[in-house]
Amino acid sequence: MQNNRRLKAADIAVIITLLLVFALPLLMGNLSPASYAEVICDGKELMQIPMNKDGSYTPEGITGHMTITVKNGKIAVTRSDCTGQQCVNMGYISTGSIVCTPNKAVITVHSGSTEYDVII
Amino acid sequence: MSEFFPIAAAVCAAVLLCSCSKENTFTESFFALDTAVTVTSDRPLTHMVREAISDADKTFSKVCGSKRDILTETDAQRINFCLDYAEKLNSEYNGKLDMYCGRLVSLWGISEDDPKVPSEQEITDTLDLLKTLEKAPAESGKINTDIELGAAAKGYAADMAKEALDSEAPEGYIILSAESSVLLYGEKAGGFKIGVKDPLSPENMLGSFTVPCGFVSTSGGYERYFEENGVKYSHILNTETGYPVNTDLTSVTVYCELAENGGLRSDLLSTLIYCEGTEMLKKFAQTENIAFIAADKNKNIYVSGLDFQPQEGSGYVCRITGG
Repeated sequence: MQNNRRLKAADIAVIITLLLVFALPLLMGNLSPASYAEVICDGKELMQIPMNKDGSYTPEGITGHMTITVKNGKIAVTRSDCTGQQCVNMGYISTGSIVCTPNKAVITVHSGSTEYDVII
Repeated sequence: MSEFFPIAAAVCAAVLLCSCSKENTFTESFFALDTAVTVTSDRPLTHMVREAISDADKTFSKVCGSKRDILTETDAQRINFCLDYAEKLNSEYNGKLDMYCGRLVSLWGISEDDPKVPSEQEITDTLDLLKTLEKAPAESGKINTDIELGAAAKGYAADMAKEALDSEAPEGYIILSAESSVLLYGEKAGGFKIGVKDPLSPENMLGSFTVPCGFVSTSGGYERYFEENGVKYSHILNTETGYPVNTDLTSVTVYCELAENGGLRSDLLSTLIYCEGTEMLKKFAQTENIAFIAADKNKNIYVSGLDFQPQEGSGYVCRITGG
């Protein structure tokens, strides 16, 4: 009996160890979602911007001038020489996309979180 | 060991599967229909949707905004289908959709680089012109400056994407997002979870709902607008006044099942309901059984026919309208 009980304890240890090993990538993924923003102009990817670090970017390859700023995990177009200023009016976003029609530029946030399949 | 091992192995396999499925998605982003389009799938199918959207874009770029061009036979057919469908919805729901507002949209420069508030005189002149306008169908071989299909293009394009996918009957799921119109296709474990943006602060959420598959479209004045002298002007215009639609709603999201013309229907209905305002919401929910989520200026959310989960701390009050 004694021997049998010890085996059961070992079973549980094995289960927990296996679970931890398998679940590790999942846990890591949830703890530190690899959130980044992709800047696409006319179908071409110009750059990827990490969302976890504050900073300012001026991607090359966009027809007009554009300044993109990351602050507290949110991203915005803070300056654009387009006339409509729709991209600047969007303000800071943490999900979805910012579109600048005159510059044919799209900034899409790819968040590591899978809370929503799509945002509308 | 022998009793527990199979259970342990099964649990581990399940966990492993979960973590893998999150990684295996295919995504494609491109610019079409005057917006950012993103296609996501768990199979390499995104090109099929991209081709359908590019095809739709060829037609609708000729009747949306300022870059007008000569219509082909196919263009005219598609455009006239949208016109007829809008008219059908107008008579069915007593709506005020006006697809013959091309000249008014051009006057405001809504979809151009430099929108501006026109003078009173310019608006009166354009309204006089619209009154005498013959609401004729689009003709191939001609340029049409009267028709404006901004309220239908994305929905129709989503229908075209659905048809393309139907012909291949693919396995897996595909999500097409053209910002204000979405196609949710195929089967996804647990359904598709849609986050609805807060129109007063689009970086936050109003809440979410989960559906098996279908079409979702949103209309609101919060994303496409411009400011002049501190006043915000939205892109949805009223052809009776010549100015942006005066509504107490801030956004309307409509869900339609994955049926024929569901994309066009959801796109047009979201605009139709948005223009009517809160007063008519009860009718759309209880008499017409339309599934929607509407938000108003006083931070109320009206829900019809959907299992809506409001976002905590959004400051909105959720009211079930029916359906």
